[in-house]
Amino acid sequence: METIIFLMILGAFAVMLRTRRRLYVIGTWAACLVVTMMLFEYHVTSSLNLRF
Amino acid sequence: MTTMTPATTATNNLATPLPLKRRAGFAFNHVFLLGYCAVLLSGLMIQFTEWEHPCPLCIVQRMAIMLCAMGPAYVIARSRTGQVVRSDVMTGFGMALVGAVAGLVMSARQVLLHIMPPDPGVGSTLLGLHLYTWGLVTFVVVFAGCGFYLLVSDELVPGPVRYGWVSRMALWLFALIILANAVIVFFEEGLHWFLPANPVTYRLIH
Repeated sequence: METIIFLMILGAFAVMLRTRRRLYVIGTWAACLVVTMMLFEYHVTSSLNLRF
Repeated sequence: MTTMTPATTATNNLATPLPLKRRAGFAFNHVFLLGYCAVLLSGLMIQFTEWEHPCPLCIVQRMAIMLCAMGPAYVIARSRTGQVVRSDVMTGFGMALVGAVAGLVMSARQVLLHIMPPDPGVGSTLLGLHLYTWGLVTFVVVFAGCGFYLLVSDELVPGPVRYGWVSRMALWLFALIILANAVIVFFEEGLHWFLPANPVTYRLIH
C-alpha cells in the first residue's frame, strides 16, 4: 500500500504539472492526503500510555 | 494610441526587473521546496549509510512532507504560465499548511511514543535529535514560514515571473525523490500489502 500511495503522490504531482484546472489539482492532492491519513490510522495500533 | 491587452502587459512586465519583494516571494517557494527535498534526501542518505530500515510511521511522515511540499511546487508550476497570482499562492500555501497539520500529527505521535525515560528512541540521531523529532521541527517551521508569508503576502505575491532553470530543476528533483521513495519502499515492502511494524530487511530480495 505504501508503494501505491507514493505512486499516487507522483501521479498527483504529474496532474499538477499537466493541468491548469485547480479543481483537478486539489482533488488529486486531497485524495493522496486521505489515503495517507488512512495508512497512518492503520499503523497506529495502540493508544499512548501517557497521562498528562 | 494603442490599447494594451493583459497578455502584452504581462510580457512588458517580464522585460522590467521584478521588484525585490516579489522576487523574494518567488524565491521563498524555491527555498521551501528545495529545503524539503534536502530533508527527504538526508533521510534516504541516513537509510543507506546507517543501513536502517524506515518504520511505517517514518514512511507516512515522508508522505506528509511530500504533500506539504506540493504547495510551493504548485506555485512554481504555475509560474510556467508567466504569471503567479494571489489565488495560486493561496492554493499552494493551503496545501502546505494542511499537509503540515497531517505531518505534525504523525511526528508528534512518534515523539510521544518514545518520550518516557529511559526509552532511547528509535533510529539514529542527527545533531542530537531523532529524525522524527526533526520532522516535527520542520512542520512547525512550515507553519511559521507560511504565517509570515501570508502576513505580508500583499508585497510577496510574485505576479509576472520567469520559469527558469532553477524552477525546472526544483520540480524535477522533487519528482525524482518521490519516484525514488516509491521504488525503495517497494523493495522494503516486497509483495505484501503493508510494511511490517518493525522492518528489518528488504523483503523483495530476502
